[in-house]
Amino acid sequence: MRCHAPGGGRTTASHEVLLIGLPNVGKSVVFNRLTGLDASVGNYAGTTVEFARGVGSFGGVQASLVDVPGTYTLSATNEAERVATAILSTPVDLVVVVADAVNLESSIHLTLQVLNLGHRTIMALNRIDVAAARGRSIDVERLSREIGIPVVATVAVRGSGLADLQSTIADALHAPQPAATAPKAATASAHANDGLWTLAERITRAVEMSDAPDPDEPGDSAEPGPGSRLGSSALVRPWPGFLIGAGVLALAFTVIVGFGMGLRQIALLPLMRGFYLPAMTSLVTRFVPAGVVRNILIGEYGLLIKGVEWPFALVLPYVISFNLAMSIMEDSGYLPRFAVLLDGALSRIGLRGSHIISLLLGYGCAIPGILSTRAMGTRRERIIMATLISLAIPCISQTGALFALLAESGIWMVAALFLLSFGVIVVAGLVMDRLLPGERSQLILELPVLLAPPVGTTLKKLYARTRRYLVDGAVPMVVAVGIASILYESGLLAHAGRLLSPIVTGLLRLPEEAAVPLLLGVVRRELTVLPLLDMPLTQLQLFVGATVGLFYVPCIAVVATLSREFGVRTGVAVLLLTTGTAFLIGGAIAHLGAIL
Amino acid sequence: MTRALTLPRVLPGFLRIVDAIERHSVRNPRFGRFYSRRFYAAMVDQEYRLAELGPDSRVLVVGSGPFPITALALAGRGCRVTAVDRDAAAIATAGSVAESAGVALRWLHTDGVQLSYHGYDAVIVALHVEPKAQVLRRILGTADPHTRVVYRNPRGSLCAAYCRVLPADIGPGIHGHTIPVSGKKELVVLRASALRLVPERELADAGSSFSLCDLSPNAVGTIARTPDHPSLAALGLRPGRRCMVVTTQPWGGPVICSVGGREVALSRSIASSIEIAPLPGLS
Repeated sequence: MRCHAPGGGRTTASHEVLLIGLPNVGKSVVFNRLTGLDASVGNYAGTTVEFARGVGSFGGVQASLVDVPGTYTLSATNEAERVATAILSTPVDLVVVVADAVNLESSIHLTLQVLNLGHRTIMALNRIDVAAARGRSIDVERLSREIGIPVVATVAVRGSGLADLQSTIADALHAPQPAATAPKAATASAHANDGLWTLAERITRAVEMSDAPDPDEPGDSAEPGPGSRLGSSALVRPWPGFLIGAGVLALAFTVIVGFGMGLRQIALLPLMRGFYLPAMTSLVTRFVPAGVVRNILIGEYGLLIKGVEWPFALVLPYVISFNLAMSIMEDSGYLPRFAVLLDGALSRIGLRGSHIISLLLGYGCAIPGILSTRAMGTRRERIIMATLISLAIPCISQTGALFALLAESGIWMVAALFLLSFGVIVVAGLVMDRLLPGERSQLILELPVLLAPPVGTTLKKLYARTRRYLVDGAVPMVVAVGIASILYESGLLAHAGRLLSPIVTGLLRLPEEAAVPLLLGVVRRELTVLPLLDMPLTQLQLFVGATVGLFYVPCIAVVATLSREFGVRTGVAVLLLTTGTAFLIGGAIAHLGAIL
Repeated sequence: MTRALTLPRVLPGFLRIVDAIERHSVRNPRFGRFYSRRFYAAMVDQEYRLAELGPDSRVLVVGSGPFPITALALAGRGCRVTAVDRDAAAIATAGSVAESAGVALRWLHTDGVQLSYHGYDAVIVALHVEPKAQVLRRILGTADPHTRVVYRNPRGSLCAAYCRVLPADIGPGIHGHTIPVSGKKELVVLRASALRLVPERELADAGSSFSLCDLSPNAVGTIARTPDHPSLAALGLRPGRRCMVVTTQPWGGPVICSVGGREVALSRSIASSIEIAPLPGLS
């Protein structure tokens, strides 16, 4: 039995095992390896923002495994860390601390904190390969003796040491509940926090054998070992950091657009137009008599035509190309460096540099973007981010639709639309920064080691995200098109369109039928744009339609997420703001454009 | 002087140009007269009035530089001027400039955060002095109650090149009034009451240490004290650790430092509350 219910869902397994550790040490990789699931992973702190649960088998014992968000200490400084701290205060059978061999001291400190809570604990010492590459080796047995718990060395991304870890977990679960004999280190429980640090430092010195200079000497970072740090500091210096940042973004954009468009034009569109559509049309024409049913299947919003073409031939290529580019950026460790560069600029709109990661995720889909804000920042900053994502950042389906709509009339229209989107982000950020009360967070961001993204991990992530799109994105889109098709054929859509016509024809100067996408857009964002593809529109009307589509209401799922995270009032406020902005800017462009 | 303490921060190029201009002024008196009239004359007049100076007033100029226009102008009005700079080369050049102008000044080669400011009627702090807040704290801590303190701040775009210190940045309860002057600069006069408002405890700390913000790129310092934030300790930023500043981002962006083989980005406000122990051999 497998279940992957974020944030809830008890399983039938009798044992509960927690995986905890510092941010970005590979807890989720260990989790995925042990359960065969695909919790999201990436090379930056805060990839996991709520706990994922899965079942693993350890020596014949089924245990429910919980992947806890990374935490530096058990003092909960943000939403994600609060989740971690809260779950540790409940009784669990076993805690597996995923320790970071590269930053051993902080990991030992966290382990000591966990031991002080009285949990049965074992340690998985991960990333020993990275530590070895830096000329540091760790005496695992000594470490185990010093802390008084079993320690298993692992390299989770390559899967080594995991069999060992599994059997150690099994042993720990089979063993009777720990006797009152507290582990050696827990005697420190009386000590204050400072005492724990002293202890952690002492243990680290005892077990770490280094042929590199003392890690405490900053010379270590100025004269780096393999995987040069010299190059990495160029990425965060304003010069040439900004140039490199612009280059990386341009490259990512090229990959997303080029790869997506290529996939669509070369493979999917010919397949669709050449084989699928004619075959489907002739099949339906042969077996279904002319009438409402045939129209529902292959008419204007034909379920078998648009319901297949839009999600699979039009949006899917961009979903694949976006996730490819994003996965590589996430796994390389570049994103936090980019974040640092932008911190000064983003602080002008009430955000911190690290928030750029959430905004970038929003270009994939608003929901992970909004959820990722949990690991970073105050409520005020989270609301600013969530509003910006809902308002002016198109999700990848929408972007794909916008490309399809505008690219034929000229790439400049795409560029103009994105400039407009950036402009609205800046203005909305400035306004919210002035208006919203609340605190600002302080940036404390660890820059992870730069890694060449492991091909296997990247491909797996690409696969998992594409599958998630097919389940959570494509299926609702097909259903929405089906409903639209029925409403259209029954004449209800036209009726509703007439009700909206003051806005559509009066304000936006679009044909009356353009009311249909406005209604569909409530269900899925890209449906605000896609139906415009088949309408005879002037260039100005195309741009107005695209603008309205860009800012218009986020889809139902996003509004639900907003309400869950921030309360219904915020959800409704964002709904009104986005709709208002869309009509205001769309109307302004329609009327100004008509004058010019 | 110690390398760690000479820190053009955001626009190093700009400061280098100013420095070059001032050195050129030393060699070319006609250019020097133009330069001082254009950029300094009105400001020094203002300072003379604001600091309520007169002939025979004892004035200390902190950060006099290689071409000591302010010090010379004040001496020209009859003040007894002491010029301080921590750059030995600047002191030497300035000394010869003053000599050729036939003006007698007292020179001190020391760091503004180490100096005792006792015994002056007024202290004037130049635009480029760093770390300005610490220097001002030191001044408020050691100057006589009647001493008037005037310091120069950048305004607008000049903030990209120099650090702008508000009276509140110097310490709680410090007030001053600010007079904008031409050339994107402003003068801040610290109120006399400010001198007495600095608590004793803070005076003891003032000037004895620097914050992470004051380290220049590639400079190494030992952390003396950190604010109470759990993540800092976990990231290795703990007292006694040695820490190197990798770079400082523009537009008030974060300070990136390397500690124990990790790179960590910190907001300026956090970095400025991480105290760095004073360097040995700084006197």
